[in-house]
Amino acid sequence: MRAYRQRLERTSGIFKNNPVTVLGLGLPFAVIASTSLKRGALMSGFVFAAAIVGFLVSRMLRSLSETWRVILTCLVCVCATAAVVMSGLFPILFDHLGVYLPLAAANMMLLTIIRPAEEKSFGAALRETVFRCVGFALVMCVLSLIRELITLHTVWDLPVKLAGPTIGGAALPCFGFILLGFLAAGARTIDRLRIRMLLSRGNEAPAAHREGTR
Amino acid sequence: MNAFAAALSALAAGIVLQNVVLARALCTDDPLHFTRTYHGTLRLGFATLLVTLLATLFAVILRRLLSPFSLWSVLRWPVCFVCVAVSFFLLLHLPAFRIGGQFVRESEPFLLYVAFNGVAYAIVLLSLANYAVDWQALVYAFGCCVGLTGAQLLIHAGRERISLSVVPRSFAGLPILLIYIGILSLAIYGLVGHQLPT
Repeated sequence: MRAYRQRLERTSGIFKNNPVTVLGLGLPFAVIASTSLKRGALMSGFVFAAAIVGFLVSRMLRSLSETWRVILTCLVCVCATAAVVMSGLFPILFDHLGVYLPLAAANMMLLTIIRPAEEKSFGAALRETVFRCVGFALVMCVLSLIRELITLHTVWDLPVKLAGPTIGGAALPCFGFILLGFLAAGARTIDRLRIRMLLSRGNEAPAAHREGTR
Repeated sequence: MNAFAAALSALAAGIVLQNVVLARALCTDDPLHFTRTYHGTLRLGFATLLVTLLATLFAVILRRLLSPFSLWSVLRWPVCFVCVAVSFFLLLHLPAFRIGGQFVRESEPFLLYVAFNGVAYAIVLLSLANYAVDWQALVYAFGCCVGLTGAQLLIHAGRERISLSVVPRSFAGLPILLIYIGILSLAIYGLVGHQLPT
């Protein structure tokens, strides 16, 4: 049980304190940009890049007040996004994400993801930032996969044979919200079942030991 | 008459058709922490309205000046963000927040949140992208703020009722709220008449 808790603590951000299913952050991106696996992966990759840039900028601006740090970090991320789009290196990025691209560079989730940069040592803060991005990507991948399968019967644009008709409504935001709600509840249930299993196993071990010594 | 119809259309688009919360999923970040009362929700809406309208006004003026340049399509992102930041600072130092009534004074703490949680920035970007006519962009931004406040009030009312009901442990808190927002969003889509599969 203790080992399980310690493992969760070490990987905080992926399962424990997941930015989407536990902290309720990044919902616009999780709901809107998760209509296909390709979009989900693009958004996850972009958030990862923005978080690393934001982390480094926030680390450099530690001496400033919180308001200025927030503004300058977001501004640098937005300018970097504009520069990437202008360079034409990733045309697919703007085609798929549209207005959510600059928003991903300046939002509450990014600021929360990079917050450890101000409080912890460089290594620990960077690890937590990366884990939070991985947690976001994990949720995005699961959501995108389910929605793409239901909406188009495809995975990464490759057709998959599934029984039943395609349901175009799964691409609507309402379905994204509902699916995310069930995903968050599912994650909690798995955590509770795992704890219950570990507790019951922990109770069985002393009982077996007592039986053996009699 | 045409102007009136255009204004009404922009307003309806902002309030219902493209509702920032229920159709675009904006301002749903951290929904459990910021609006615990109806007054808090109204203050959030008021702060959003102030920041967004001022930022849209600045952005519209800058669009007139900078749109002839070819880079405007991408430059508008940082420009709009700067407009939001400038509006935030202007409002923060506005004497009205010191001498105004209790409602106005208590709206001040929400300014930082609404300015940088992405919602004001998103509304400014959408207003510029959707409307080429300046005053229509402003009306649309106003409609978005009204729609946001209405949606947040609906969410808060739902949350109050959910807190009085027995909810399975796994669904308590954020999951049930997300499902409730999803059902509200579905209701909006039904109202608007989007083509849902039968």
